Amino acid sequence: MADTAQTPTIDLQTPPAHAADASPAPSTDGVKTSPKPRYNGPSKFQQLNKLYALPAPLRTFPLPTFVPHNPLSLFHILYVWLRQAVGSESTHFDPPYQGWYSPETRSIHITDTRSIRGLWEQGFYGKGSLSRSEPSWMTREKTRRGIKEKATSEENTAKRRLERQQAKWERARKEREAIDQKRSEEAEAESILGGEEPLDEVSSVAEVIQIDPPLPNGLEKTIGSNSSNADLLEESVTVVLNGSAKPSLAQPTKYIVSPVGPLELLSLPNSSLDSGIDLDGTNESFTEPHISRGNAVLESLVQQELTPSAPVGPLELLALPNSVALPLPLETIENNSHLEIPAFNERVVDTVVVDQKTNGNTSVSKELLPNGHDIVEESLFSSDPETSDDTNNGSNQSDETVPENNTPNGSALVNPFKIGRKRAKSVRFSPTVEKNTFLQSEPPHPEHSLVAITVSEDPSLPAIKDQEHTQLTLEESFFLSYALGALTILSPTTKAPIPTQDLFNLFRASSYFPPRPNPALRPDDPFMINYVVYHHFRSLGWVPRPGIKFSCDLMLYNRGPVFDHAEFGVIILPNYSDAYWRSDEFLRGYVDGKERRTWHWMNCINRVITQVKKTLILCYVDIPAPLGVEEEEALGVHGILGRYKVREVVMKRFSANRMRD
Amino acid sequence: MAQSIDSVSEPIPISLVSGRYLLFDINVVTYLRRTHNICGVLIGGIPQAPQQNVFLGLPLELIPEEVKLLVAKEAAYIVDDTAWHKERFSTLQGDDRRKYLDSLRSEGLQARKATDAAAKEKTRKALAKQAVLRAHNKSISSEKSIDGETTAAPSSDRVDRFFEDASESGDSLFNNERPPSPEPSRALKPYFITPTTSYSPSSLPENPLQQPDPPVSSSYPLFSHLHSRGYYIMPGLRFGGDYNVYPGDPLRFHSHFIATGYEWDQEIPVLDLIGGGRLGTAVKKGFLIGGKDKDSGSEGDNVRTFCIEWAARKMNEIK
Repeated sequence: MADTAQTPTIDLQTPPAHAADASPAPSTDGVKTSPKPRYNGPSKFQQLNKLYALPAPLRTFPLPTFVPHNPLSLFHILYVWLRQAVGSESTHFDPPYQGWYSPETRSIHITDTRSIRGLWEQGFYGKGSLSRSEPSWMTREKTRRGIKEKATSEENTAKRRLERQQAKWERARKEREAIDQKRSEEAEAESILGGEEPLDEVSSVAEVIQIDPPLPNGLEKTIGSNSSNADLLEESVTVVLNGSAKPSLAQPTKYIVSPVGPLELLSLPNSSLDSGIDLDGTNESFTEPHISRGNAVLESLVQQELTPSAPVGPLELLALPNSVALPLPLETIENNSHLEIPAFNERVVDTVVVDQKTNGNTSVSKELLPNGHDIVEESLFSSDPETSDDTNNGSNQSDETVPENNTPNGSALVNPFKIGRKRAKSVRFSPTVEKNTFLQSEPPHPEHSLVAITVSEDPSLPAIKDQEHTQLTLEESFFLSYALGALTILSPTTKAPIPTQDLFNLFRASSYFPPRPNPALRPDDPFMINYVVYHHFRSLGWVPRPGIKFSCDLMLYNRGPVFDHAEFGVIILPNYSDAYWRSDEFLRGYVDGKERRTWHWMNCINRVITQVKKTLILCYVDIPAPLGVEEEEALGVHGILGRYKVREVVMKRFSANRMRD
Repeated sequence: MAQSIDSVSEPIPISLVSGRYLLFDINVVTYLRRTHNICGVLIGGIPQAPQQNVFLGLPLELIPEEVKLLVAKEAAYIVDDTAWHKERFSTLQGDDRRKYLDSLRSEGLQARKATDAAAKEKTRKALAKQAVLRAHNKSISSEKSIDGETTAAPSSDRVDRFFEDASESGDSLFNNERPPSPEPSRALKPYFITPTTSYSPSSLPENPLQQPDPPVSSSYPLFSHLHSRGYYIMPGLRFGGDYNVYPGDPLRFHSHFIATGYEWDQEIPVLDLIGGGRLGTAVKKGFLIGGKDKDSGSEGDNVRTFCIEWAARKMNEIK
């Protein structure tokens, strides 16, 4: 919504100074040939797929494909299989990720960077304690201190909000201006017409035209032809009357409200052409009052629409010749040691990686970076959301549609198909892009990102202590440790790993507030119910994340938050279907209290969920009859979990009146 | 209309029909809305537009909270329609019975008279208008047709005169020219009245029996608290709350709050607060929760209210 409303304002808002700054920059290269094809780096999705290649913190070792007409492939398969059988590489990363149980927050804290990145990139587990979802405090802190990094999603959101607010201001201002102009026009018309005749305007116009002999034919004709259009008629009428009555009343101010505030100043026509036209019009009007003023006004009206806007926005800048042209010298690629797969995209990635890593090394980066690229990037990035409030320059305005995505280093490439339909999610990547020339049989390694981060640290800057840790919910951490075995949870008291059975009971007990003693555990512990549903959806391949901000229990992502918005909101409802729960009066009352929901509640939740364009899923968990402590111990975690059943009901409000089309 | 509202006298009978509190008299409905800020919900179909449910008509249903409030203010009392019908109507005999039937008939007669008068008025106006038009045409044509008087003029004159006569002398013209129509006899015939309640208003007791309070939800204290502050309150199912609270008449204002009442010690799920706050903010209302402090001994209704708003966390405003 905001994008479409805003894009037209770009041209009007651009201050002339900025235009003068930006336009010569690309032209200094002096190459005025046809614009080169845009830099063809890895697309946003290639990048994302690469970074988030593993859907779970596990490695898999697929055998190579068997090609029947190539007997050699059989040997390849055999070789890989043998190597795996003998070498027996572990599917788990060694050592497993580590987390600390925190009884105060009833969550698991992950503090080391390797675990934080690994768990986020391999299945989107956890939430940064100082961030919205992905732990990105460090990046934001660096941005704040001026060590420029890539934009985080939080920053993008803040910027978007600011822009939206600004657009609303702008719209309000325009409406106000239109009203003021209309009023002044009306007042003027009244003051002139008022003395002459009390009849309606059209007849008076006709009279004036008849009376006024020196009017040229052309103007008369235009009035006649436009008579259907009331506005135009009115305007031209006032012009004619001005000319005939008082030549000294030449009023260019009628069309431009006197610029007082900064916003009005910015909305002034920005090229010297425009003002020249206006001046011409007023000058001529003194010599030939009748014809030229009318013409001048009409001309200026046309000109305001047709003024060629200086190329200021990032899109225009990039479309200019030579700003993005990336002359890739083949020698540098040949020199690159990673050149194993000759696909073009991957080569490009390689060079970019080199460029990033050896930033200090001038010889390489000089060759790779096209001239002017740095300047463009600076002009795009240097404006903060805060400063944009005041300066209001065009690059910031258009940032919304095209944020820093078109820069060739692929920091956040936007998918061109998605811009129009849906706001592409803003994503933070690890600062360096990994080499893309990995073998098919060799799984991506979680340590990559860690290495990348350490490499990109600049030793000259003061070290910032990362004050953020990741928090895992009880369900997430139990799934990681029990179902996947990828996480070790340490107890804060004993500093030792907690075994699964103890962990299970601990989590069940601490899901109440205040925590309950172990023997009092029930089959409808909040943790049990939530975990059953969490496990259910995780094992079906969804990425469930806590949905408290949409007032539901879980949000279901198709692949993960960086790829798409959540599709579903899940509400978990206990269902006491077992005969045990109906057996006596007390239990019936208890169950009624647990199961009761009102239509008001339903309506509220459904409205909230549909408002954010998601679908509501009611997830019923059948609660079995309770077991004794010994029985539970005999069953084990597997057995206990096996007694639960999960049913999903998709909720959608249907209104016969509104859903017809 | 204003006079008929004045004719409404408290206490007002509220019919209780199968668990619903209904009002059947438009004057009572207007009166309650005007003087007591009680709006209710129209639930009846409109005979002229039966295939829609956007606009509804009488009867008006009151929610139990509204009824309890009115009863507590002694502005109304509840009449259990079934019981009253069995007690009074089925045992109606002799004189009472005749009186009741007469009252129905006189009501029908009145309605008929009113309709006839309205129809006559309409006809008269239309004819007068037509006559004026004709007269105007005639004057124009007489001006224009100085030279070419055609045969059409006399006939139109005659028609004009005919209508002028009709407009002036009214019924006499019709009565003279046409055979006596069945109109006079029809005018005497009353409309058949289907009574909305099975008792005549006059038969109701002046001093009603003390009825038990209607069973209300636990958020009644919040309702009465808001009502005492001059708010108009409508049922809030549409926005997922107990009540929609309007600063003035709902016909003139958007509601300001989505109100939900809670018991003082009730546990409120966080998800409910989030959902309500989110929804309220999205529809530009405040999500208002309130409850009565039963332990507090001070005077007044002891209701405390809180308004919850969903605000986005502003990141990057450190600078």
